[in-house]
Amino acid sequence: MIFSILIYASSNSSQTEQSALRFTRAVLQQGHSIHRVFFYGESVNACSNLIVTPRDETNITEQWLTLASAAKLDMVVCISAAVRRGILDGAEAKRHNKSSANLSEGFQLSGLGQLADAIIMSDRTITFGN
Amino acid sequence: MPLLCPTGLSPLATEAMKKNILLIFRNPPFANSSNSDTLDIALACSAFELPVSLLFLSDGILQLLNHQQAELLAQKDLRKRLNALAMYDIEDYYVIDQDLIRYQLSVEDLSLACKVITQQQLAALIRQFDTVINL
Repeated sequence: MIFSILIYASSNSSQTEQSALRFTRAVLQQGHSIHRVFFYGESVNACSNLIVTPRDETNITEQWLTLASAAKLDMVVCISAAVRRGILDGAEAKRHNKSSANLSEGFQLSGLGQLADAIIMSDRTITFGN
Repeated sequence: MPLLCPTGLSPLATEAMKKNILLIFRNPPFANSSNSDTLDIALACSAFELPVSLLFLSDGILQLLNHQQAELLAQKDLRKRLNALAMYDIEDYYVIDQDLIRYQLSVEDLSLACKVITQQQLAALIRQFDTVINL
């Protein structure tokens, strides 16, 4: 079965994003495929490369990137949710005249059309909301 | 041999295009950005010709009240975008009778022409949809 994952919750203040990560791993382990992981709302904060996690805690961004490179995940971050929260790639930083970009390599900024496409292409779209 | 569809798309692709979506609004206006974010998903899905229905559940029903003064809170209200939904062919809206009673509202108080269903019909409604998004 083809799954897509929509993440809306904040990774800093809830367990939800960790649940999404574990669910994604479990889907892959069961032999299903993931069409796309779509980061929306507060979850886009997890895609910054400026996050400093205390040494005895787990860095969820690194966990996503590890899983993504092993499973060739398509990880898309909603561009309007990201830009308003200060998560910029090189092109957006240039376009909005900001001094630096901070989107972790491995994530891509794009529009909500990518979510609609994920809904069309997947048998199940699972939301991890608030 | 797969059957050919009149649209020229494979049966699988046509099936995928038919996928219908229910978006659930659960929060009151101005509480957080989830109603606005849900509305953005509705418009994006509609642009991809996915049939979209909206359910205003619990406090979400308050989103439909007229005469909101968003500017007093330095916020934007969703009214203009909600009123534009018909232009996107999104015309299927639901509320629950118990939520109307709880806030002493009637359907005339709501800015969209909603179908009223009972709590008991809710599960059956949700089951009609291929994808349900509840942020």
